[in-house]
Amino acid sequence: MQSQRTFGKEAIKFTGMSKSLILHFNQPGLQTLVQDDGRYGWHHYGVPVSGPMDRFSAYLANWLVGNAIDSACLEITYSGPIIEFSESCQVAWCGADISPTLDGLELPGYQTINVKAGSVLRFAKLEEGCRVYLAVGGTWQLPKILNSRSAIPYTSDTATPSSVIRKGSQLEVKTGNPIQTRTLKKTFFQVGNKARIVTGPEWSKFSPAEQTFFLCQSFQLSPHCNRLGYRLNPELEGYDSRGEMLSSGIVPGTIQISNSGQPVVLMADAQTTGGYPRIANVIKADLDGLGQLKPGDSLTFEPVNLDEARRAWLNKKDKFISLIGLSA
Amino acid sequence: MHFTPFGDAAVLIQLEQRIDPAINETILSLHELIQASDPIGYCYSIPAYSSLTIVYDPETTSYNDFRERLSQLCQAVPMKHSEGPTISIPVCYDPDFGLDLNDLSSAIDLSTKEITNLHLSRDYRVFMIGFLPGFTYLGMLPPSLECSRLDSPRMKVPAGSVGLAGLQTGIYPLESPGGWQIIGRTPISLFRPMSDQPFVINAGDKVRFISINKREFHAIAEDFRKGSYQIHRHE
Repeated sequence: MQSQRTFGKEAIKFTGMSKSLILHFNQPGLQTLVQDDGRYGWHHYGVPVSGPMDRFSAYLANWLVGNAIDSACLEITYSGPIIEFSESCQVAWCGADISPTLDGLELPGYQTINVKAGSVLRFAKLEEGCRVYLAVGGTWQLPKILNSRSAIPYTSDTATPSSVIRKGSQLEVKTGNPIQTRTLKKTFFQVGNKARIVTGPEWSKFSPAEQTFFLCQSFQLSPHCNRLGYRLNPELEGYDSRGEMLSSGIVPGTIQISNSGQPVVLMADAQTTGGYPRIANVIKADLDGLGQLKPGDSLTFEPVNLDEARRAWLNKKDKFISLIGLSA
Repeated sequence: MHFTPFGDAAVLIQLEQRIDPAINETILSLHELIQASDPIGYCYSIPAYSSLTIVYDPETTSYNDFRERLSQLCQAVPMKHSEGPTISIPVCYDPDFGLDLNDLSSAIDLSTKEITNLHLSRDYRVFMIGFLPGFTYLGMLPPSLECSRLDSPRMKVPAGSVGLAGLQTGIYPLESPGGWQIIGRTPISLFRPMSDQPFVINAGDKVRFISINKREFHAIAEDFRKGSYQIHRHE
């Protein structure tokens, strides 16, 4: 195998003009979606936030190609697509390692890659994590629906058809002048098998035995895990359903207990309201790590207080800002 | 007013936990007031039957500071939310659309005609929109229509389905999984993502169901697609 250093050395010729790049998807992968930062201000109409399951990985990938960090990029889950690039461009990936290769050469992550026209990007074995974010430098030519290019859950086929990649999909990106290539150490990436939580609004409705079980158990992600939420096994021992409550708000990271006692962690595409008791919430700083879990992975919860949760978030943001040197 | 933390980036206001128009009015008033005042750190809020989830940015504000700002704001809350319009929604109660009509008829011991007539007998308040984009929670049903959810939810409820659950009725805006008992279908799409006005109904509005036959269903569906169907709103 040739040295991976081939990449990023060959500068793209400066043209001073924007070009129309087409990404041809010869294969879609298991689930490949366009995600930008998501939808805000529509929650009272039942519209979920969406956006990347691992936001900071998406932000970093965008930064590496000179895009605004909340720009659209590809979220590639578990197994990757085959993408052919019609024009030269700059790309970067961050997040899960799905063994990507460009024209047969190993493609390193966390750096700007100069891609030649006609190159083909493939993925192979999933080595670590679950979701990789692929950014392409330029402006993605996709309509915004409710002010976002993210695939909208339930109705993406009709509402955001271009944001869900299928075999034969084509995406257009208007590329600008290439930037000086950037490199980062692999950072902000975490497979979040240990998530910090704060107790939820209905925490006190659970018995001490149920609370202890929840905090001490090592849970496992069931096969029923997707962008809406993760169902965890096992169920709470001897759980006696409290019946449904009146529907009330849900935010990403909320953990509900279903009538059968199964914990459900609600993720980026989760419904905005729900009627099951909310035992806890994963803290904001640990949501990205959760986004890198896949069915079969283990998950334990560690309680923290609100001050600790806030400090964790501020630390994460500070580190991020000092890394990329701009206000996020 | 009782405030509790909800996760590390939201405040929850919970009023008495029951379906009550006056309680819901207060929630909607609070939602509008907070949205309009946009206190420092405010991101968005989710009004429900008797609760309001207010999401803030923990980078900008601490929980205690944000709760304090909310607390001051809420002292000024006008307890009367402005009366919303009444929106007419045509529904076809044909058993081809009312997938659970026959089973429900035996379960609650009313004929399908009686179920339909009872469903049409009053206007319903839109208590909240949630679950799916544009899914309306309407109430309250006439007590004799009270029914449980399906034992096992459907994997796919067709878009436009009108269902019953407990004392609530609701409209599925999109094809989705769901456990409500389906008694009819509207040809109107309650979520039009490409439109300037993607949502037809707001929390606090009233909904009046109008019975239509299958022929009218298809005609309205066609007009709606072409954009020539005018939804009737009574202010």
